[in-house]
This record gives sequence, structure tokens and C-alpha cells, in this order.
Amino acid sequence: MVDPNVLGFMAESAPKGFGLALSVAVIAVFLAVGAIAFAYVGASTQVNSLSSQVSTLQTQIPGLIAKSGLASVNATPATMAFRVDWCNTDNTGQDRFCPPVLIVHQGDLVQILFETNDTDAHTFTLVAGGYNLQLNNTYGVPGSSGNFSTNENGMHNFLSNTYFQGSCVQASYSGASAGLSSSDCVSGSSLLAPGGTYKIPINPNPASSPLPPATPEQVSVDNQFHFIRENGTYNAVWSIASFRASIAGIFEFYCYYHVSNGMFGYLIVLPNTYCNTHATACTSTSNSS
Amino acid sequence: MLNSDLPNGLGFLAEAAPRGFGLAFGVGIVALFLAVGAIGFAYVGSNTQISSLQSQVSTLQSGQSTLAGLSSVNRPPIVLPVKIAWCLEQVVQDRFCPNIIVADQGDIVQLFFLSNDTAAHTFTMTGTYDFQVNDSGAGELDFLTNYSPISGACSNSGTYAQMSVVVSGVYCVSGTSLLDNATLTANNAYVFAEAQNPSPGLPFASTCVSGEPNGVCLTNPGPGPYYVDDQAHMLSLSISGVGVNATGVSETQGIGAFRATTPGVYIFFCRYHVSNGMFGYLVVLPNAYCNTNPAACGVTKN
Repeated sequence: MVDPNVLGFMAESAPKGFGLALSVAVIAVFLAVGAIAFAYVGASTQVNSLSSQVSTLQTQIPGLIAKSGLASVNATPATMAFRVDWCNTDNTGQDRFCPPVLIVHQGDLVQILFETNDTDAHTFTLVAGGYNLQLNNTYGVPGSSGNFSTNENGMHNFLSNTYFQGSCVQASYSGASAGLSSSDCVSGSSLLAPGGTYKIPINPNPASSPLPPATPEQVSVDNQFHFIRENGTYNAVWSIASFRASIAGIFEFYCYYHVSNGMFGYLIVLPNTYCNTHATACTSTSNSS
Repeated sequence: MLNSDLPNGLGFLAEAAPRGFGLAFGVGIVALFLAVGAIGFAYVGSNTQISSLQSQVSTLQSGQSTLAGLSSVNRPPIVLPVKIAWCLEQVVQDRFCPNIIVADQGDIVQLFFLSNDTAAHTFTMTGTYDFQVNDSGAGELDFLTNYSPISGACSNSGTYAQMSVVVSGVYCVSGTSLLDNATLTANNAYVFAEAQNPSPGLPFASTCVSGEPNGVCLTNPGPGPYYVDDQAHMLSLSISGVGVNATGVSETQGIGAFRATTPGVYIFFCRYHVSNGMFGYLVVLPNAYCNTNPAACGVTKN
């Protein structure tokens, strides 16, 4: 309200039109105050509502994390060595992988030593979900009888009921890593470069005690095919390779020749929280962890 | 403001109110500017804040949806009996059968390790888990010393305090992860969770061998409790039937327990035959239950 004492001089000096101007001014002042109040109250209500939502959501997050987010593996990638054998020790007497399940963390460096002492050729083939790797234990001798008990005979091809006249090829890394090969001993685009060391030193002659000088050997993961010496003779073969388990999930591996007999298994890669913040480490192509 | 600046339409005001009018008019104009400014300021200012908050709400709702969508194991720990045997695969090399153990975080793993080989074997874990069952009976062969006979069996005479110091070369069962009797009892884990047939080579009830003078009858009383007593038991063929395994060959059975407190994948191995490939992996799956019930899982909360 306008104080007449204060504005009295105006009234006296401006008897005509002054009331109108004053009214306009007062209305404008009221409008200004009202606008400010309206803007403040309106915005404040919305801000308060949103702030409340933010607080509620922020309160819920720890509970959700407790429920799920923290219940995960959070491990620095490590080197995981596996020794996968051909076997037929099930009561069915059919070809199998022993073990048929491999479990690792996402990001782990997986070393596969695939060992067979069968008269048939076998492969460890993994071509699922972005993995591409094969270890092909095939040995052949031209004109062989196929009675594979030493390195003088060729292995049997279960799919064609014939005998291999040539062995798998020890390819260069650039050739072997181009993709899965039907001729290379070790191949696939997931293949890491040769040169890492197999994590578990191996007894070069498993039938004998690993005494000096035949103490367990540090074996290079050389992406090659080898023979095992058993008391001076060769009666088993093995190949070795490594890859990075960069993708979480369950992936089938199989033997190219005997999958229909049941020779398949699964690679299980556990999701690893560590990889969410260390993607480079979990996808590294280094052959050491 | 000068009267001459007024628009023509307002000239009558200037004429009618030569004095004081300017002040009132100025106040009105200023008030109008203030009103417009206040609305603009309030609009722009609050709009920025509202946009920011709306963005936060959207982000949080998205994160909430993502988190709520994640699933994981979420159950109270159990007692998990595991029976692992020494075996020879087709490659005729020493192996664990099975060579993978999968447990949920918090589970109490009862590890029953049996071997009927002529050589001694161990089930050994070191590192995060420190635990060993050593099936070394007197007379069994030491692969690392060219099959020389082990002169003395592993010791069952240690107390829990002695055995739990660290993995031991003396005691049959040892390691810092070894659970004590009180913990096992409190968790109903002192008895192996699967009743055991004392003589797997014999059917239950009595079996009499015909043709023998006076007859020989073997009696298998059927499954009974087997205790997690942190010992290795050397079984041998017995006329009573107790102690005969499936192949009729004596065997060694060691048993101990630990709690799978830490998720991850961990190697276990036989200290004699690891270089022949006798190793496997313990897989401990993360368990959301342990986040809210750390004590029940044996987890120390940071």
C-alpha cells in the first residue's frame, strides 16, 4: 500500500493522471512479486519432486548392488593351464574329452595341452561365440597300415575309414592365425603368438619318476604338435596352444571326427567385473597374463 | 525519462501530470521489467536445474533397471560333499576324477579324497585356499623319489591347532583353511553329507562264499555315517566286510573340510603327480547372499 505521507507531494503536485500512473506502478509491482513467487513456487515444487526421486533412486542403488553387482568374480586375469585328454574310459567305451568342462575367468589366458594316445586322429575345435581355435592331433605316414602304436604308422580317419598319409602341418603363426585350418596342427584367429610358458611343468616321461636330469620341463606354448616318449617309445601325441578368454559365456568345443560319438564339451567363461574397468587387460593378445 | 520521449498515445498523461508522474511511471516501468526479468530468471534458472535433475533421474533409472536385471546365485550356504578319486585316464597318467569342483560362495566343502593306487597322492591347494588331504600310507610309493616306499604314513595324531597352521608334510589333513570341529558341528557338517557304503564291493546284508569249508560269510551293514574327522583312513580287505572297496583292493580315504569364502577359480593338485597332469580346478561361484549375510558365508566384511 502506498503511504500517503510519502507520496503526498505527488498527489499535491499531480492532481490529474497521477492516480492512474500510480495504480499501474502498484499493479506492476504486484505482478513482479507474484511472478517471482509463482516462478519460485512452481519450479520449487518440480525441483523438490525430482530431488526426491534422485534421493530415492540413490538409496535403492546400494541395495541393488548388494543383490547383484557385488556378487561377481572380480579377479585379475591369470594363466589357466588345462590338460585335455582323449579318453574312452566311460562305460560306453566311446570317445570323450577328459575333462569335458573347462572353467575360467573372463580375461584369463587359457593354455590348452591336448593329448591323445588313440589310433584315431582327434581335434580340439572351438568355433563358438567369437572363439576360433583348433588343435589337430593328426599323424600320418605314406603307405602306413594305420596301426598307430609308434610314430611309424598313420592315424585312422574315423570319418572316411582310411588312414592318414600325411601329418598335420606345423604352420607359421601368421598362417595359422589366419583362421581355422584343416591342415595345420594348430590354427585359428583366437590363437595367441607362440612363446609363452605352460604354467605347469610337465614330466617328459610320465611313466617314470621325474628325477634329474629328467625333471619336469618348462614347456613353451609353441603352437605345435609333439610326441610323448613313454619309456623310449612314442605312444602319445600332444599339441599346445593358448587363447584369451575375453568373452563370457558357455561355448562348445568338439572333436571334428568324433563329435557324433559324443566327443564334445564346454568352455565356461565366468563374467569378471575386473574386465568392466580393465578391458585392455582382458582382451590382451599377449601370450603371458 | 523526458516527456518528449513518451509515445504520442501517452501524451495526455504528461500534460495532465507534469510533476511526479515521471517518478510513478518510472516505478511502474521498472516494476514491469522486474516482473519480466523475474519470470525469465526463474524460468531459465529453474529450467536448468530441472533439466539437470531430470537427467540424473533418467540415468539412475537406467542404472536401476540394469542392476535389477542382473541375476546371480543368491542362496544360503550349504554343506557340499565332494568325493574325489585318484584315477588313470586312457592316457595312463594320474588324474583326479572328477577334476572340477563347483561350489557356491559360502558353502562348506567336505572333501573326501580316496585313492587305491600303489603310489601316494595328495589333494593340495595353496594360496587363497590352503588345504591338503594327504593319502600317504606306509608302504605306498613316492613317485618323486623313483617309487621308493614311504617309510611312515602321514600322521593322524596332530591336534587341530597343529594341523591348521599351514599345509603340512607331516599331517594327513592340514592347512589354514581347515575348519575346526566346533565350526563343523555348528553347521551340521561334521558328518559327511552322503551316507557311505563301508564296503562298496559287497551288496548289503550278508554274502556267503560257497564252496569254502565251514562257509565264509561277509556282512555289509549298509550305508552309515562318515565323519569329517580330519584324518586319513587306511582301509584293507577285512573278513568282516568293512574296508573292502569296489575292486577288493585296499585304499586310503582322507577327509577334511573348508569353506568356499572367496569366489574365483583355483587350482588343486597332487604334489607327487602334478607334472603328469594330476591337477584340477575349484570353482567358487559368487553368491549375492554373502553380501548381506557375510557371517553366514564366513566372509570378513571390509
